[in-house]
Parts: sequence; C-alpha cells; structure tokens
Amino acid sequence: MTLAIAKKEAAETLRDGRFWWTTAIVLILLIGALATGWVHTERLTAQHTEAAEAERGVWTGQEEKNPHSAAHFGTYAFKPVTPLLAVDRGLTAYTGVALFMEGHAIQDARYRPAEDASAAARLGELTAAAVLQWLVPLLIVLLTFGAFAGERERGTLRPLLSLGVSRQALAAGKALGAAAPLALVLIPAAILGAAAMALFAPPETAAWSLPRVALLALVYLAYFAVFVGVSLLVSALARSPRSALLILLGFWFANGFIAPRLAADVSERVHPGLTAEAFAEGKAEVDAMSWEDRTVRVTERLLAEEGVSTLDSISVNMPAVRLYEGEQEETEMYRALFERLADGFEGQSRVAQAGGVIAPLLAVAPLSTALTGTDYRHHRHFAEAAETYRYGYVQTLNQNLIDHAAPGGSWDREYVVGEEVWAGIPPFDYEAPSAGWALGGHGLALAFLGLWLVGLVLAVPAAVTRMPLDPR
Amino acid sequence: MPSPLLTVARTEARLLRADRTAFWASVVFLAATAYALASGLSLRIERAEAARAVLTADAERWTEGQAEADSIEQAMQAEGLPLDTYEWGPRSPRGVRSPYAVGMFYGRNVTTEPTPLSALAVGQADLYPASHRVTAGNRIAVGSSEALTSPLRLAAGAFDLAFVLLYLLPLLALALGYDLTASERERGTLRLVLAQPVSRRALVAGKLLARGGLLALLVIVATTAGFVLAGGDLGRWALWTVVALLYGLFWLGLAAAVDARGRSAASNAVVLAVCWLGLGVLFPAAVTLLASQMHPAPTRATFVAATRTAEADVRQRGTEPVAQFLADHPEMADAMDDDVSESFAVMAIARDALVAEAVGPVVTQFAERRAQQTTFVRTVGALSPTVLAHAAFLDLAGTGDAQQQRALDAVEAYQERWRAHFEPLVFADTPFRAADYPYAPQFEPSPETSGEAVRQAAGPLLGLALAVSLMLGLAISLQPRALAP
Amino acid sequence: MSNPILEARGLTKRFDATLALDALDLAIGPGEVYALLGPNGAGKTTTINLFLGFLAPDGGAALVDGLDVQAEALETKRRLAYLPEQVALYPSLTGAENLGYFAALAGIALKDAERADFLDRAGLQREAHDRRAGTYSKGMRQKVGVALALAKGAKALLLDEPTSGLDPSASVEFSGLVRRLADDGAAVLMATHDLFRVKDTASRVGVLVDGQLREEIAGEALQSTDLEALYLGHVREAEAPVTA
Repeated sequence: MTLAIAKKEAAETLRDGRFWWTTAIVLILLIGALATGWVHTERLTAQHTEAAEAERGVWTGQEEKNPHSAAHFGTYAFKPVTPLLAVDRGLTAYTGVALFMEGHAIQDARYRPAEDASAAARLGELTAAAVLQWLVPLLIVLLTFGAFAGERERGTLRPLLSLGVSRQALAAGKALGAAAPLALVLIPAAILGAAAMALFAPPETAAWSLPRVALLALVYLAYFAVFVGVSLLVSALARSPRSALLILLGFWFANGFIAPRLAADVSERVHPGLTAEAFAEGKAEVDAMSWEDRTVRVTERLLAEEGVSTLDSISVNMPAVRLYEGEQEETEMYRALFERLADGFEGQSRVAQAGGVIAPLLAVAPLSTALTGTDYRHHRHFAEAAETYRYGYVQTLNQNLIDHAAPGGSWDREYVVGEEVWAGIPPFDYEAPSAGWALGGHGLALAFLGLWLVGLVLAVPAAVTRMPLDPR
Repeated sequence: MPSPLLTVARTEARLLRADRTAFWASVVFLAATAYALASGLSLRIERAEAARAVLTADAERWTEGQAEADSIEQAMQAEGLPLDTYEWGPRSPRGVRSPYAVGMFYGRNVTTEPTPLSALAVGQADLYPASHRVTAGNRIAVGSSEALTSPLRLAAGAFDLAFVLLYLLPLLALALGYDLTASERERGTLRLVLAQPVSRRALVAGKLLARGGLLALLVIVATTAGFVLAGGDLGRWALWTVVALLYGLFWLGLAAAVDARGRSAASNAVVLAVCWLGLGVLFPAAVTLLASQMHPAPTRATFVAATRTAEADVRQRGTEPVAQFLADHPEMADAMDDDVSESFAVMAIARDALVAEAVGPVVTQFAERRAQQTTFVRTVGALSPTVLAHAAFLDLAGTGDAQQQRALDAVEAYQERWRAHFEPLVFADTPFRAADYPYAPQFEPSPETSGEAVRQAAGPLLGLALAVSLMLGLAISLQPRALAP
Repeated sequence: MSNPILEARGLTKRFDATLALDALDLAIGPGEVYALLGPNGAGKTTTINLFLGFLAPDGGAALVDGLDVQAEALETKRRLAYLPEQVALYPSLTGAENLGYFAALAGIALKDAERADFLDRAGLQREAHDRRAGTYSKGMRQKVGVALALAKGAKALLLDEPTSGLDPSASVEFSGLVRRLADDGAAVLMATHDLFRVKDTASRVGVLVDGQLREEIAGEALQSTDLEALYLGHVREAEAPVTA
C-alpha cells in the first residue's frame, strides 16, 4: 500500500516537466559552483605550498647570527587549504591565512581573505552549500506543499482513505514518493562528485576528504528529509494549499535567511566572550612583566643552585636561562589569553547552534562547515598546532644558547650559529584532523538534527491521523 | 466623481486592513526593524567606546611622555649636561626623548570613529581593525589591532537596518503583491469589478497605489526611525529612503508582473519565491564568484612570501642598504651623524625602504585586482537590485569599499608624514625634545562628506530607478486583456 | 425590432479546437426578457462573457445599445448590469459599502441614503445593510447585485443562472424583480437551467446546444409549450451519433 502510493507520487513527479528542469538548474549550479571552487582551491593550494617553500628557504638561508635573533626573525605558517572549500566556504574568508611565529609573542593569523574582497562578497559566494541549503529546500517545498492539502482541495483525499488505505501508509507513501525523485537525482550526483575527487585529487587528499564527503551527504540528506517532513506536516494541517505554501515559504525564508543572522547576533549578546578591553588588559599584563625582576630571580636562583656568589662563576649563560624561562612564563600567559578568546568564539557558536531547535539550518550549517574543515574549530586546531611548533622551535633555539653560550652574567656577542641549526629545526608539518574530530565539537548540532528527524517521524503520522479530510 | 484608479485605491486600502498576510508581513518587518536598530546602535556605541578608549590611552601616553621628557631635560640642565644626548629606550628607560623609541617603537595609535550611520549599515566596518599603530620604519604592515570580532559573526553578517531592507523588504513587497488580482479572481469579485466600466490597467494601478502606499509608509517609518536614532543628515536620509522605496517598489512591481499572467495566487507565490532566490541571493553570489575568477587576486600567502624573501635579501646585504638609502635620499645624507650609520634603527629604516620598493609591485597588484573585482561586481551586479541597493546603503552609511579604502589611505598618508618627521631625526641622532612633542604630525581623519557619499550612491540609485520603472511599466501594460476573470 | 439593446451578429468563439459558439444571432429589445436555455458547455456563459468583453470573439460581433463591445469596452459596460451566478462581495466590507464601491467604479457616487434606497428596492432587509458581506447568504448577495443594477440604471441586464441555489420563495421573489426591471425598460438576457421559472419570467426562450441556437419560442407559443420535452429533445438530438 505504502509502496503503491509512493510509486504513484514519484511517477507523477517524474512526469512533471517542471521537476526536470528545476533539477537541471540545481545540478548546473552545483557543478558550476564545485568546478569554479575546485579551480580556486587548486590555485590557492599551489600558492600556499609555494609560499611555504619560499619561507623555508628564507629560514634556512638565514645568515649566521645569534640563535635568539632567529627567534625574533620568526617564521610564517600558512594555513592549509581544505580540498572541500568548493563545497562550503565556511569561515575561511574571515580567518587569517598566515600565522607569524616569533619569540615572546603569540599572534592571531593575519590577512583574512574577506579584507581583500569587495563589499558585495559579504552577500555570500556561490558554493555547493548555498545551493544545497537554500535552493533544494525550496524545491522540496514546491514539490510537496500540496501533498495532502492539494488532494483535500481536489476532493480526492476522502475517497482515497475510504478505499481502505491507512493514514499511516498514506503518510509513509507520500514521504517516500517525495523523497525518491530527489534521491534519484542527488545521490548519483554525490557519488559522481566523490568519484571525481577520488580520481583527480592526490591520494592523501582523497583519503582525508572521502569520509567527510560521505558524512556531508548524510547530513544534507537528513536536512532534506527534515524539509520533506515539515512540508508534509504543514500540508496535512493547513487550511488550504495556498495557506500551506505560504506557511512553508515563510518557514523556508526564516530558516534560510533570518535565523543564521539572528542567531549570530543573539549569541554575541548572550555570550560576549573576551572583549577588546579585556584582551588589551591581558596583553598589557604580559608586557608589564619586567625584565629586571626576572633577571633578579634567575640570578638569585642560579647563584643559589650552584652555590656561588657572583655571576662570573656560574656555569651557564644567565641571559640565556632568563630567555628560556621568560618564554615559558610569557607563553603560558598568552596561551591562557588566546584560549579565553577562542573559547568565547566557540561558546558563541554553541549558543547559535542551540537555535537549531527552531531552525534546522542552524544545526546543518555548522555541521557542513565542520565537515568541510572550514569552521572555527579547524582554524583553532591549526593555530594551536602552530603555537606548539612555535614554542618548540623558540625553546630549541634558547636551549642551544644555554648549551653553548659563554657562561656568565652578560650576553654572549660572539656566539653565532648558522645553517646547521636553522636546517636542524624541522619545518612546520600540519596534519589536518579527522572527520570524527570534526564532528566531535558539534554534538549539539547533531543532537538537534536528530531531534528534528525523530520529531517529524512522530509528528507527521500523528498529523495525518488527525487531519481533516474535506476542504473547509 | 474620482477616477476609477483612486476609487480602487481607496477601497483597496480599506481591504488591506483585513488582509492577514499583509498584517503579519508588516508586523515582522517592523519588529525586525526595531531589533535591527537596537542591535546596530549598540554595536556602534561599543565601537565608538573602544575607539575612544584607544585614543584616550594614546593621548595619555603621549602627554606622560612629554611630561617625563620635560622633567628629564630639567634634571639634565640642573646637572649641566648637554641636551643633545638621550637614552635609547624603549624599555627601562622608556626613551621618551629617543626618536627611535618615540617614532619607531611606540608610534601613535590612530582610530577611525565609526560613522553615525554605521548603526544602520555595518557594512565592511566590522571587518577592519579598530585601531592602527603608526610607526616609522615599518611600511609594509601597518600594525593593526587584533581582530576580535568572532569570525562566525562576520560570516553571518550583521542584523542591521540594511539587512532588514535588503531581505525583509522584498518579502513584504512580495507578500503585498503576489495576489494582486489573483485573490480577487479566486474569490470571484474580479468578475463583478471588471463588469464595471473600469479598465484592468486602472484596476491594477489602483491596487498598486494602495499597496505601494502601505509599503512606502512602512519604509519611511523604518528609515526615519533609523536616522533619528542614528543621527544622520537630511541629504543622506532622503537618498537612503529613496533607495529603499525604489528597492521595495521593484519587488512589488515584479509581483504585479508575475500576477499579470492570470494564474493562481499560489502559483504566483511559487514563481516569486524562485525569482527572489535567483535575483536577490544566487545571482549576487554568482557575480562575486565570477569576479574572483575573472580577476583572481593572489592569496596573501604570496604577498607574505614576497615580503619575506625581500627582507631576507636585504638582510644579506649587510650594511649596504644604508648606503643605498642615502643614495636615494641625499637630503638625509647631509644631516646624517656617522656614528649611527650602523645603528639598528638606521638599518631598519633603510631596509624597510628597500623592502617596500621590492614588494611594491605585489602590493599594487593586490590593489589593482581588488579594484577590478569591485568594478566587475558593480557593473555586472547592477543586474540585481539587491547588489545595487546594498552598494547604495553602504556608500551612504560610509561603510562601503570606497569609504574603507579612504580611511586606510588616510592612515597610510599619516604614516608617510610620521615617517618623514622621524627618519631625519634618527639619522641625525638628534633627541626628540619635550618641546618637539606638540609639533609631531597629528592624525586627521577626513570622512567622506555628504556630497561625496551621494555621488557614490548616485550610480546604484539610477540603476534602481530604471529597474523599477521597467518592472512597474511591465506590470501595468502586461495585463492580458482577453483573459476572462 | 427597433434598436435592440443586446445584439449578437454571427457571434463566434473557438477554444482551441472546440467551437463554443457558432455564428449566434440574437436581438433583445427593451422590456424583453430572453431566457437562454442549454446544458452545461452549450455556450451560455461564453455568450455572456462575450457581451461583457471578458472574451474576444473569433467571428461576428456583440453589441450593446448599438455599440460594439470590443471597440467600446468601457461604454458598453456602463450600460450593462451583470449578475454572475455567485455574486462575490468583499467579505470585510458591509453590503452598503460593497454597493457604494461597485457603483463608484461605474462612475456613480451614491450618498448613504441613496445606497439604502437601492438596497431596499432590491429587497435586502434594513438590518443587513450594515452587516459585513461575509455573513450574507447567497440570496442576500444577489440582492446587492440587483441593487447595483438598479443604481446603474442599466439598459441591459445579463443574468447567469440567477436562481440556482435559491429556495422556491426566493426564486419567485427574484422573478418578480426581473419582470419589474424589464417593465422599466431594460433588456434582459438570462442564461438558465431553471425551466420552472422560465415561463413566468421570460418573454422569449432560446435553446442553445453545442454553440448553436436550435430553437426560439416566444409569446403565446411559449406558454403552451412543454419546455421540458422540447429542451430534452434538443439535448438528446445533439448527443445522438451522426447517422451516415
């Protein structure tokens, strides 16, 4: 019974010319967005790789100098470009691409791509996500708003049920019949896309991307299922097909265009995070730590440890030790500060995700950015990895100084090192996190998406059971 | 006896009062406007306070520095020491008389106050740093304050009045226009109406007058409330309101044109939803994508690599850059004190000049590509009223591309003056006396005048006017005469 | 007949391949009530739509008071009053307000007293005048339509299935109203199924089947005809397969 209804519904849709050319438009836009996105990603990746190589050359090509000077010269880490950028830009335009790593300071990544784009770019760029999050749900609404309301208005609903079709079967049949044509079009498209990636992308990229693409497909399918469910629910309970359509269009519009902005705004108010003032204060605190105090402390300690009375007799270079310990202290304080900043952003993100209880897009969009590697957590992961590297190389250089500089209380002007030390520091090798990790930080979004699905699976049959059979 | 058009308009206005869709659309629009104004204003207040805090702190530091320099000089004079020596600084001592510390290390912090109308259209203002540190000897990256706005918030965009007008006004207009004659046809009243001696054109025009009137009223209420609260001048208010009215009327006209097909209201709603998504959302997004494809700006990674390579090259040249710099700037050579020819301050200045020269072409390329992208978007994007209205709103609020660029240019110009003031001092090894403090260059932000903003917005405004005329003309003339109601 | 008010000269209308009206010739003078009988799809509503200018003829012409409907759209509508099968009114306006609006569209500014007068003459009870039209029954809505016809002082009246859905007493009342309007000089074209009331109301009857006027009966001949038999006869004839 369910299958019979589903088949009839699907056949009707597939026979409708409008279905085919709207699907064609969707596919053309998707392919266009993905193709141009791919070209863009390739270009960016090439440029980042080139830049990283040039930077390494600059680093190893440093002239002979004091190792600590190299820590001041610093080096850049370039944020890797996610291969799935064509699918969803996420926050990549608003997070920096180059992170400068030097001693005595932690910095945020510089040069956000949005700063180099025109103002109109803030209106959004065409990615696969835009098509999947805005256009496809609209099509779902247009295809299914009349599922029950239309039959009711035409007067075919009562006769259908009097034939002995159970309401549950009808609900399931309609849902299946609406989903089937969509799946028929979208699933092959997804498979083709994945296959293209597997064939044309380098193996590590493909290996990293494919599980994420699979999960993305699932997330979007769930999103489409939610829209089918909501559409059927409204269709069952609305006064007329026109009323159902207007309500659904209102839902689609509010969900797609008002909710994200409203959620971001509200979350910023509810969870303000670290203010500019507090941040400046934190930085000032670090800056205020005086060198004199530290010199005194380190000197006293070294003298005590070695049981000598003057710095001339100690066995290590005191300024080197001071540098090492200074780096330790400053790094700890800076890390705490940046952690507060990042936690603030992530907290805001979670508050925004909580809006997913009213608008499913608020659950799906974060998941989409997470799986494509374009969310804030991925940026933070990169920044923290760079920070670990920074601390590592700076302290390596400081340790080198401790090990080799002339013992005493004054700066060793003579000691210089060259390429063997520079090249000895390994280049920054960043490993992007796994799909599991990506989802890990978005439990709330997953939960809400799940809630929507479960809720609709319960609500649609209930609504179909109670729906009026005759037009009012 | 008033003309049929006015008769229709008056009754239509009466009927609108009972229309639930119109009611709810209006309520949502006004509620959103209220929220947007509150949100935008609080954002502007925050930014203004932050800017003021930076300026106050900087002014304090400057005054303290001057006072300290003064007391040092007095002490020196008391001890009979010559005043042409100074402590280098920048830490312990702070070097308040050192041209290196004052000019190259501390510099000055400059901010640009948020424009009053940035409360209505945040535009690009949230993307750029609140303050810049201007120093000599560091041309490439004018030190900027940390970007502390959440990237999530930046990506989502601000919920300001511009957003309400760009996205919710079309919704209101489409809600008011989608069933222009369709609902009358479905209700059956169209038969009796058209059996009277009134032409379809007069009927449509009358309905448009009434519904357009409601739309106009809501728009004017929204913009006037915005301008009163945000505090803008009359010229900008007038233009902003005209742009918003034209934008709303465009969508109303589109709804009327779609309604002229003579199909059901539901069918109209479907077509209009697709039109709005296409014209208002997907087309602008596609244009931006195309712009970045046709005029791809190199990623900043390339810029950084070029800068670093140039820096490394210059460093390899040891002290030669100083000689090069002096060759390029002979006026400095005369005043130069040979003792400092190898001081790292002089080296820094010389290297900075050479690196800036080497990297110049890359910087120019960025600026060129960006200009090309913006031009492309403004011309091709003109096909979408959303792009036009967006550009106009931002230009009028002072937060668009041109205005941001102008602000950055002002900062850079100030840096030039600062550099020109302090570099000779460093080269000549002259102290920066307490008496010199008041004569250091001051930052003068020069925000765009109303006239300039209006001129910027004129293009989009004309585009919109054209689009609206086309739409409304189409709607009224397309009424199929032979279609039985 | 001297100067017919409603005239159809070879009026033809095609919808795609179907010939809805085949060269209809009709002439209705002042004071005449012409009942157009016919089954669904015969072309009755098409005829009315052509007189109203809602459709353009494919051949021939429809004339109102000597004016071609297509050429003088607004003028002809001024002289016409139309009563559709369902008189749809604006539910949120009162009956009086509805009348005022439609009359204003027709170029007639009615004062409140005039509105009340026309509604009374149409038979609408006083209490209902200022009630919202959304609460009206079909008969009440029809009376507002009649009031409009009175207010317009129309020379020609087009009625589309006026008595369908009315109970017998309302039908009788309506027939009386139509006769009065005709007596005042209007030419009435009434498309109807209601064989019952036709003999009381109409002065001439035309049987329209498949777009063709099969028969016309008038005067005493009308009173003595078994309309039902006549009507059914024509219908069956049209349905019968064409014999070779």
